Parts: sequence; structure tokens; C-alpha cells
Amino acid sequence: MRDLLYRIRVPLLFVALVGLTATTMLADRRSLPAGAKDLPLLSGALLDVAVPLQAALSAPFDFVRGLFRRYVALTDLRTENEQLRSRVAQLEEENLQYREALIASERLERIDKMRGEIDLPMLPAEVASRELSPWYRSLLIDRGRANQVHAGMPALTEDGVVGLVTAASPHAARVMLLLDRQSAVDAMVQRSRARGIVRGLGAEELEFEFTAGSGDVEIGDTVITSGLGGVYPKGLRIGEIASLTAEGSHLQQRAKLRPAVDFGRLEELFVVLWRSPTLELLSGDLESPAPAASSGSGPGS
Amino acid sequence: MIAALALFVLGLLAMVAEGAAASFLPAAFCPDFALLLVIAMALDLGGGSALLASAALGYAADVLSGAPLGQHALLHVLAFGATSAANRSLELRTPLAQATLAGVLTLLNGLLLSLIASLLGAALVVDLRFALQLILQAALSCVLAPLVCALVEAVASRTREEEAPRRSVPLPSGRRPI
Repeated sequence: MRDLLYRIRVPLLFVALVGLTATTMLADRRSLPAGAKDLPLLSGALLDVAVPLQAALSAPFDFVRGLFRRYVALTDLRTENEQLRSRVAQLEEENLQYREALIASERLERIDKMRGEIDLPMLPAEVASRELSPWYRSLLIDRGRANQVHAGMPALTEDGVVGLVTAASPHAARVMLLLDRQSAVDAMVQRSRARGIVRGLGAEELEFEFTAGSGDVEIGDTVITSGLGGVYPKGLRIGEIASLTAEGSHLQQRAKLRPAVDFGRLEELFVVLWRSPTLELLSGDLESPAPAASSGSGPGS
Repeated sequence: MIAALALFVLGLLAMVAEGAAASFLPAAFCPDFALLLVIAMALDLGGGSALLASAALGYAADVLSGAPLGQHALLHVLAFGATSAANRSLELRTPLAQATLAGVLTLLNGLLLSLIASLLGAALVVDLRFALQLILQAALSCVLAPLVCALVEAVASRTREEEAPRRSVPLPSGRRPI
């Protein structure tokens, strides 16, 4: 009997273990509905040992995984950064176009306003080139006699007077700027109506020479054409008084004038298709008069 | 006995490492080292101590995995029994046979685990994902089984060598055996 038991000890153990494991399993399952329970001492000890071990074993993997995640995040960040840079460039381009459109719109508004104020025919022209000589301040435009542009016609922008057409070919014309030393315009202060002459100095500033008794002149006053010079219509903006100089006699005084037109940025201008009667008389023999000029008179003479 | 104890400790460490690896590896790629050890012990060691070690490993797996206490233990005991039975009638010393046996037992183990879980009240989910996971794990067991068997064999032979001097050696008495 003892030998038999010894021989079948393993199958017996097997059956016993199957029974034991099944029993513990069922018992463990039954105890679950009763709520949470503390682990038996042995199981608790096993967990207490296993958890820190697992944590220690996981640490290198977690570290590598963390590095990998950071790398992936950095890669994503780089891609995202490139996409955002591209998007920013695209938006900047769009923004630029919108700003250009806004500027163009504002400019068109100003032009429209100017066209409403000046009841004279005008022809838009583009600045083709500038005078390279430092002694003369003039520029060339892409309109000429074929476009009814003739010498003696004023050129202006929505900001104010640019100068005077001094020569015209069939398809181009030269405009002498107000800044030129040869330029002189009869002008007056808009506020006080003080009259004087605006002269070019060959630099970026103009000089306003006025009679002391004709009225007061203050810094910031707007100077406009008087219409009495026989060249420019009346009321065109020339510039603002920048400073008053003490030079000159008691009778004649001078002031520095900041031009209303930014000559450095001039790209387009308008040629007023009008010549004063004086100029018509002077140049009538040389050039055929412009149709607009023959049609009537302007606001100034 | 010492071999079984050493393999039990090895199995415990393997399970702990497995738990750590499970945090970053998909479940299908986590081999069931405890089961492979049970199979290898049944093939190489046999005997009561190996059976006890298998059951103990199962209990440890239950504690660590949160399964009802005894579920893995029961399956490990059954796997031990099935391997021992197969070993009596089949030649399971070759790596191919070990791999096949491990693959089959891994599949059965997975199926029985979910079946027992469902009997104990859990939902029985046998879908394509489950099947794929089981097949992958079985394939992994096939690959690893010969290695684990070799490891167990090495541990067993080492412990046998250490135990050998302590065993009683029958001295020749000059009498003929009966």
C-alpha cells in the first residue's frame, strides 16, 4: 500500500492540486461580491516584492520610451514648425496684398477726391525715369504730345503739386519738379492768405519767400498755389511751413517749406490737360494748343 | 527539489520582467514565460516538486495579474499534467516537438483562461483580435520553447551536479541483488 501510494504520489499530487486550485479559484470568485478584501500574507508579500522590482525593471524602458516620445514630439514639433512657418509666410504675403489693396484703395479715394475738387481734365502718367544730374530736379513720364501732353501743363498728385511739364515729345515728357532751382510758383498761405513765391532749392525742401506785410505765416501753415503765376491753377497744395528763417530784409521774409508730395516715392502723377492763357500766348507759335486748353479757362490764370 | 525551487524563482523574476515589459509591449508580444517554464519543467524535471513549483508559479501569476486566485495555478497544473502525459507517449526532446507542444498548450491555455473567466462571470470575448493575439503568442511560444527547455535543462543538470555528492551511494556489499 505504501509502495502504491509512493508510485502514484505525483498523480495524487496532481489531483490534489487541481482540486486545491479550483477550490481557491471558486472561493476567491465567491468572495469578490462581498467587496474588497485584503490579500493573504503570502500574496501581499509577493506583491510587495514584485511591485518595486517591476518599477525598477520598467525604469530603463520608461526612460527609453520617454526619450523616444520626446524625440517623436520634437520631430512633430519640427514638422509643425515648418508648416507654421510656411503658413506665416503665406499669411504675410496675403497680408501684404491686402495692405497694398488698402493703400491703393485709399489712394484711389484721394485721387477721386482730387478729381472732384479740380474740375479740369487730367491724364494719369507713370514716372519713367528721374533726372540723374544733381543740378536739375526733373523726371520723365510716359505720356507725350500723342496724349495731348504739352509743355506748360502742371503735373500733380493727390497730395499736391509735382511740377511743370517743360518739354514733350510724341510719347514722353519731362516734368520739372518744384524742387528744381529754376522752379518758382506764385503761392499763398491757406490760413492767412499771405502771398509769396515758392522756389526750389535743388534739395528736398522748398523756400517760401513772402512779403512781411502780406499776412502772418506760422509753422505748420499749408501753402497752396495762388493761381496768379499764370502756370498753376489756384488752390493746389504745395506743402507746409516747416520753419521760419530770420534771414532776408524786413520786407521780404523766408520760410522753409516741406513739400506735400513725397518726390522720392513718386511713381504716378496726373498731368492737368490745361495751360494758362499766358502760356498759350507765349507758346502758341511753337506748339499746337491742347484741346482741353482751347476749350476754355481754368480756375486760375 | 533545488532545481524546482531555482526555476520557481526564475519564473517569478521572469513574470516580474514580463509585467515591466507589458507596459511598453503589446500583449500579443509578451510571451508567457511561466507557462513555458511549466512545460519545460514537466519535460525535464517531472516529479512532485516540479508540479508544486508549477502550481506556485500559477498562484504567483494570479497575484501579479489580478486573476482569481487559482486560475493560472489550475491551468499550470493542467499544462504540467498534459505535458507529462504527452511526454510518456511522444518523443518531445527535439526542439520542433517542444515548439509544437508549447504552441498548442499556449493556444489551449488562452482559450481556457477566457473560458474560465467567462464561467466566473466575465464576458466571453472571442473575436478576431483575440484570435490574432492568441496565435501571435503561440507563435512566440513556439520560438522561445526550445530556449526555455534548454535553460531548464541547464539549471536542472547544474543542480543535479551539486546534489550528487550529497546523495547516498550504495556501496558494493558483495551480495548479489535479490
